[in-house]
Amino acid sequence: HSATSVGAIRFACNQARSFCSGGGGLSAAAATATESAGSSGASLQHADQGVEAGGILNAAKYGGRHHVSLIPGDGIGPELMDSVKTIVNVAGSPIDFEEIPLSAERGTDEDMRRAILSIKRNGVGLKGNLETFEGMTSKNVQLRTKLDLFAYVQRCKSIEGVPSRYSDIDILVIRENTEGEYSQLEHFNVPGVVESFKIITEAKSRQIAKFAFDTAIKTRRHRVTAVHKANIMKLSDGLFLDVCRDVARDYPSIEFNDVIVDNCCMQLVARPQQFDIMVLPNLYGNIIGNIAAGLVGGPGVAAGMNIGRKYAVFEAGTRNSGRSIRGKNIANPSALLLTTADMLEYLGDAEDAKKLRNAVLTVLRSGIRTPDLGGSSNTKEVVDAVVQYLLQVRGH
Amino acid sequence: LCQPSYKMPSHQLLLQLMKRPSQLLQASRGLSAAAAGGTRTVTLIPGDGIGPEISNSVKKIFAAAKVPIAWDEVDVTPVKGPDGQFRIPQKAIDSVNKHGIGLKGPLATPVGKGHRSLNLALRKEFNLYANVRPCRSLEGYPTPYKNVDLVTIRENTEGEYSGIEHIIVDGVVQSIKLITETASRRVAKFAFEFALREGRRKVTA
Repeated sequence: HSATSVGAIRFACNQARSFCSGGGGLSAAAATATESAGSSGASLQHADQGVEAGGILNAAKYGGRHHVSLIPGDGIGPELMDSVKTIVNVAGSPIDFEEIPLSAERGTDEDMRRAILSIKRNGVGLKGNLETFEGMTSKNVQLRTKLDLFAYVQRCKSIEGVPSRYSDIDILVIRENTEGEYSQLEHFNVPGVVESFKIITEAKSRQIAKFAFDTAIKTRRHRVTAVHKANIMKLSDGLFLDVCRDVARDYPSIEFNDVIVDNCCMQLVARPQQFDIMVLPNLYGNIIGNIAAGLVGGPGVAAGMNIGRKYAVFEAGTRNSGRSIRGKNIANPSALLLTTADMLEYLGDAEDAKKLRNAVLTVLRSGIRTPDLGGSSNTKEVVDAVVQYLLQVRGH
Repeated sequence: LCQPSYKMPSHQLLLQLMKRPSQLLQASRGLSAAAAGGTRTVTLIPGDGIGPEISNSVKKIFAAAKVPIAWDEVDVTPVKGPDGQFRIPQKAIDSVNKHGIGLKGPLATPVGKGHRSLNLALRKEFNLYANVRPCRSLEGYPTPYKNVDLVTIRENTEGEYSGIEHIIVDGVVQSIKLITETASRRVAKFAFEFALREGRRKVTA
C-alpha cells in the first residue's frame, strides 16, 4: 500500500485509540477484534459511527487549527452553513473556515479554479449542493472529477428516535464517484436521437473495490456486496463485477457477493437488514444511496463524504439543494452537522467528533425535530438545542 | 405480455389478473377483438427457473375456474438460423403474432457473457414499447407501506438496454444509452392515455 493512498487506510498514530485494531495489520485480527469500542451488540459488530471517515492527515493546520474550505452552495446551503459555523464555535473545535464564493450564479471557470485551488491547499472541504441549470455542466461533478474524489461514502444507520419503518439498519454505501454514467459525454446523433456514454474503466473499478474492502477491514464489517446490471450491460457492468470479484480474492476474511440492481432495490425496501457494505458504480450508487438514506430517516439526517487519494470533501448525504424550502427556517441541520462530525473525525479530532455527534443524536432523540422528521420545530430551535447541549457538556 | 411479478404466489397473481382483467387487456394495444363467448387462445412461454412450475399452476387454476382460455405453449430458447445467427424460433414468433397476446414466465439472462436478453429480444420483436406494472397493496398481505396503488410505465425498447457497448482500449469500456424523441414521445403518450383510461390523476416522469 502506497503511503499516500487513502485506500490503504493507514492510521496516524494519534487516531489509533479504540478504532485501530492491531495497527497496520489488515487481517483476521481486525475481523475478529474483541475490543468493544462501544459496539451496539447487534449481530453485525460494526465499529462506531464515524470510523469510516478516518483518513490520512493531509490537511492544512495553522497554529494547531484546521483550515477547511467552505462552499455554502445554493438553496438551503448558506443558512445551514451558518448553523455549522455557530456550532463549531460553541463546541470549541479548532476549525477555521475559508469561505469560497462558488454558486450556480457565480460560477465562472476562474471561480471554479479558485475553489479547487483552495481545497487542494487545505486538503479538506465542506460543501453544500451547487445547483445545475439547463445548459450547464454540473459544478459538483467537476469538483469531484478534478479533485479525483473517487469514492462517495454514505453510512446509513438507523437513528434512535427518528421515525422510520425499519430499525437496525446499518449499511455503508460506497459509490464510485468519478466515472460511469456521470462522464458527461452526450451528443445528438441526428435531431431526436441522443447518445449518452457510460464509461467504466478497470483502473477506477479496481480503486473503488479496494477502497471498499479496505474500509470493510477498518470498520470491522463482514461483507461487501457489488451491485450491477451485468446481465444487460455485459461489457461495462461486467467489467466492474469481474474486477470486484478479482479484488475480493485478496481479502479472504471478507465475504463477497453480488446482486443485480433491480433485485437490490426490491430487497432494500423489503429486507434492508441483509446489507452490510455495498460497492456500486456511479448512478446505481446515487439511487441506492438515496433509498438507503430514506430508510433511516431521509435527507435531513444523511451524511456523505467524497474521498480521494489526497483530498476529502464532505457534504450532506443525498446532495439536495433544498431550493423549495430555502429561507423558510425549516431545513433540517442534522445532516450537515453529522457530516461535520465525520469531517472532524477525518481531521483527527475524534473526541470533538463524538461530542458533536452525540449532541445531534441526543437532540433528535429528545423529539426536537424539523417537519421532515415529523416534528414541529424549526431550524433555529434545533440549532439552539444542539448549542445548549454542547454548552452543558462543556460546562463539565 | 404479462410477467409474474416478484415472489407473489401464482394464485395471488391470478386473483390480481382476474380482478381487473379488462384493465390489463386494454393496456396492450393492437389487440384483435376478444372472442365473445368462444375460447381465446393465448401464447404461453413458461420460461426458466420457477417458470415451468408457476405456469403449470396457472394452467391448473384456469382449468378449475373454467376460464375460456386455451394455451399455445412455445419455447423461446434461441436457435441458430440459416445465416448462423441465433434468434428466437420462428414458431414462437408466429404464435404471438397469430394470437396477439401471451403470458410469459421469467427468462434468465446470463451475467457478463452468453446470449443477450431474451426478454429484450421479445420486446424488440413485437415492439412492446411499454412495460406496465400495477403495484397495489394486497389485502391480507401486510407490508411496511399500506395502501400502495401506483403503476410504473417503463419505456421498454431503448435507453440503457440498447446493448451497444465497446471496449475502447484494454480496460476501458463504453456503454451507450440511447434516447430518441420518437420512443420517448410514444411511451409518454401511452402513459397519459393510460392515466385517462384508468381514471388516475398524476403522471410523474
